[in-house]
Parts: sequence; C-alpha cells; structure tokens
Amino acid sequence: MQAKSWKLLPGLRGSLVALALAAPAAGAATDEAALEVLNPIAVMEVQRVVQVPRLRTLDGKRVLLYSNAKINSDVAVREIQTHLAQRFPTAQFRIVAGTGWAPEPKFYDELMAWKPEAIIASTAD
Amino acid sequence: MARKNAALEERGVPTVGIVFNAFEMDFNSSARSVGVLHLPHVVAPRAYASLPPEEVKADVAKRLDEIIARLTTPLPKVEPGVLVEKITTQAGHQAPWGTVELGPIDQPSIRFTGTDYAAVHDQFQQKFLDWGWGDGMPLIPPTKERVEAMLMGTSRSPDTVLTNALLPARGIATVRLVAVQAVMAGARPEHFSVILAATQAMANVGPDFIIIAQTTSPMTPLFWVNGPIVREAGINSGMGSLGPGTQSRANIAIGRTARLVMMNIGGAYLGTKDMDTIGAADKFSLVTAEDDEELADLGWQPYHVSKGFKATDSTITIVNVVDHGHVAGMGTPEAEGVLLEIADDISKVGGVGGFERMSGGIVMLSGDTSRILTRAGFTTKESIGNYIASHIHGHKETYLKWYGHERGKSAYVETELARFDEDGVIRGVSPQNITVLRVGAHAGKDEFYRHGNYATTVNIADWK
Repeated sequence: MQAKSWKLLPGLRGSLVALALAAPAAGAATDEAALEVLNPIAVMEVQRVVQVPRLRTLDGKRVLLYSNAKINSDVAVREIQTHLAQRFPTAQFRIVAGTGWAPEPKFYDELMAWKPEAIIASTAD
Repeated sequence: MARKNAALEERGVPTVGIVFNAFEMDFNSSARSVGVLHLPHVVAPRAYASLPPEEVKADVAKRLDEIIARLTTPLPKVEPGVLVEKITTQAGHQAPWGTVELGPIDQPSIRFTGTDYAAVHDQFQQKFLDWGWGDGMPLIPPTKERVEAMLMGTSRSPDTVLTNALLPARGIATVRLVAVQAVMAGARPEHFSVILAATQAMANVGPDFIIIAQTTSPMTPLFWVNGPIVREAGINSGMGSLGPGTQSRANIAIGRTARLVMMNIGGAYLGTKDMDTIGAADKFSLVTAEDDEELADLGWQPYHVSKGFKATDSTITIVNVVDHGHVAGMGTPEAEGVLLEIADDISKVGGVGGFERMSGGIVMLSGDTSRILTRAGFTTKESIGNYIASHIHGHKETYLKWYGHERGKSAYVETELARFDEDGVIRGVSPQNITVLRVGAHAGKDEFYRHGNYATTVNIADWK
C-alpha cells in the first residue's frame, strides 16, 4: 500500500473547521495516509561561559551575600553570614538587598565594586 | 536569580544560589540559556517565602556545608566556544499525563503515518502535545504548503531574523519559524504581518520580557492594534474583541500565535521556564484593537498617534498585564462614578498595595461609557487617565495587614512603606501609569487590566 500525503482545500487552509471538513468520513479511508509537518522548535546560540576556578577555602575571602528581595531571602542570607563568620573568622562579609526584577548593568558594577571573591544568593524562589 | 548568578560568574566570581526544588529545572535551564553549563546551587525543599523565619534559619543551617562545598568544589571543565542547542521542554519533567517526552528536536520535519486521515491527525495532535509543543488546544498541522501560504502574508524573506535571542530561552526567531507557529494557531496570511510585528514587539521589550514570560504570577502580554490594518485584517475592535467568538478569530489567532512563539521560540514552557503557580485563561490569547472611526466620533486620539505615529500607520502595542477587573456600571451612570470605581479597583491588591511599578493599568472603555465621559467634559483620553491616576490610593494600615511582618519583611515592603505620606496614605500615581483605550461594543461595561508595564509599539508596515 503506497503512502500518500493529504492536503486541505487551499481556500480553507489554517482553519480548524477546514481540518474537520477535509477529513474523510470515519472508516471510509483504508489506504495508508501520511502527514509531514515542519518542526516548530527554535535553536539558540550562545557563547559558553568558562567559569573561574572555585575557591580552596573561604578563609580570608570577601563574601557577598545577595538577597533578591523575595520574602525571607534577607533572613536566609543573614543566617548564612552568622554561621560562616563563626567558621571563617577572617572572612569579610557584605549583605546586599537587591531586586527581583531584571537588573540594569550598573547593578552588577555596583556589586563588583566591592571586589567579592564569592557570592551567595537567596532565593529562587 | 539564575541569570544574576550567571552574570556574576561571567564576571569572574564563584557563586552559589539557594533554589527551591520546584525551580531547579528552571534555574539550570536559565543558566544554560546564557551559556553557563554548571551553575552551582543548593536545593531547599520549600520556598523560603512561605516559611516562618525560624524554619528558614533552621534550613539554612542544615545546608551550610553544601553551600561551602559549592563554592570550593571544582566544576566540570568547559571548553570555550558557541553552544548551539534546540529549545526544549526539558524531557523527563513530570506532567499530569506522565513524563514529558523529548520530541525529535533535530529533525527539520516530522512524518506521521497511519491507516487513514483520522489516525494520522490524531498522532500529530497527540505527539505535539506530548512533546510540549502546544498550548494544550488542538493545533493545525504546520505542513510545508500551509507554511508557504502563510509566508505570502509578508514580503520579508523567510530567513529574516526578527531576533536572535527571544527571551527567556534566547531562541532565534526567523520569519519562517514564526510562520510555523502561526499555522499551528489557526492564523491566516492576512494576519501574518501583525503576528511578525507582535513578535518584534516581544523582543523589543528587552530584558524585562523575562518578567512577563518567566514568573510564578499569571503575567501575560496584552496586545492592541491601531490603524488601517484593524479593518484590513478583520481584527475585532468591537463586541467581545478579546474573545471568544468567531468575530474575534483574527484576534485569537494572533494572540495564540504569540503564545506559541513564546513557547517554541522563547522557551517559555510551563514548568521549564514559565513557572506560573496557577495560570490564567488570559495567557492563551489577549489581543484587541481600537477603531479609527469610533475614535474620530469621540474626538479621541488613537493610541498610536499619541505615541508619535501617523494616523495612517498601523501598529501593534504590547504591555504586560497580570489580571483584570470588570466595571459593571450598574447604578453608576455618572462619569466620575465609573472612573472612581476603576481607580478604587486598581488601588486594591496589585495596585498601590503592591509595588510601585504595578500601580497602573490599561483601561478599556466601552462605547456608552466613552460617550458619557465625553459629555461630562472628559474630552481626551489623557483627561480620563489623569483623573483615574489621581484617585488611585493606598493606606499604610491596609498595606501592613497584607504585607506585614509575620513571615519576614522583604525589600519590596521597605520600598513600598517609604511611599506613604506622614498620614500613612498614598494619594495618586503618575498619569503615565494609566493607558486609556476605546474598546468593545456600545454598552456600558468596561474593563481594566492591571499593570500595563513595558509598553512597546511596533510599526506593522515593517513586516508587510
């Protein structure tokens, strides 16, 4: 049995109603039918980011704790700072309260101005 | 948060994020879409926002070793270069019908065979939904012939790139690929230039489009069309223009295509990047229009003319909206009564009681209300918008009831508290927060959509 493609009437293209009209009556068709459709999926292209090596220790490091303004994110980062300060007494800490919105580039410049060596962020979501 | 951490990694700082487990897929996928293949994070079992502060503290303490480890454990090696990937639904994700299948993403076309038309058609419907490539409603099969017919709706080459990074997943949107979505949504070639302009508008919103497409709130684009194209393309500006109904078939097809573009090109798949907690029917399609003749009768300026376009231009405008309200107008035939009702409604949750950028909206006025307002001296849309904006109000006492301190006080709350005057009241918002449209039939029913941020208008002539 040879496969055959089916087509709608050109004037009825793109309509759910047309689709129903173009279909043979139930049980009428016995030939093998085929339908070929285009793939709707896009491609993305992006430069891979080569991340810097991780730290050996947090001892003596500048650790920035970032709260993204979600409720309790500030609670979380303050608690993390308390624990880390006990474990790494020579580390320096700074808490920054940010925004849940998409930030402007200057936001990153402001964070980087403190020259953080590690950043801990809370929370998603 | 993934994008912020990824941006900081790109600037050379090791990071670790705390992620609620339901958002881990979103976190990883978002990082990948900006080229960060291994974004360190620890997973919390519950969203911190929904826990008492003491439980947040206890959970953080449990995760401390892991947080330290993520900052000090070497990452897998990554070679520099271009990462090329298809936008996917993250196969393996659990859905109500089972596990999401990974579709044949690398095949340019997909062939279904069966014993008869019905079997083949059923296969197409079933598989496209199983692969996550639809909005849940039946799709029109995007055959080559139908896509070619759709492409007749524009003079632009099928290979024209509208954007090389539609957010949130940064998919490349070509005219051809948008045509595939348009066919699936049931659009016709005469709608296609509007659809392309809508896609351009979504891209032109910029980084804030993430807020529309990738959030736990039911945010969605609202589009409206102005100019001669409204009548040329059969776009409904009258009764029930936002649908449903056959009168609004063009509106629905355009809006539905926009949603499929957001999904299959922008990657805003539910559970992958669209993290909407409950969802909203508005997200299927939300397209309306203003009618030039109606506006001329009222003496009101079309929206696009107020933004510097010529009356003969055809445009589509996108804004972000989150929910809507209805003003029945029953018993309030006075003009000011209608406007005060709208102002009061916008003042509720999500208005001044929310955040600064949410204190506004798109006000859609019906024929009868528009005439009542005109007779009462509101002879311009601007005068109506100014009146509504000046009567939006908030009260600190109410605000603290809603966003009080029991679960902790976020930076949002701090910012918002600073906006109340010494009497604990906010009186009015910027008139720019209110956009007035003349939409719908000749009856006294009006609607408004909250927020209305990121307004972006595109000239449809660029895509004809």
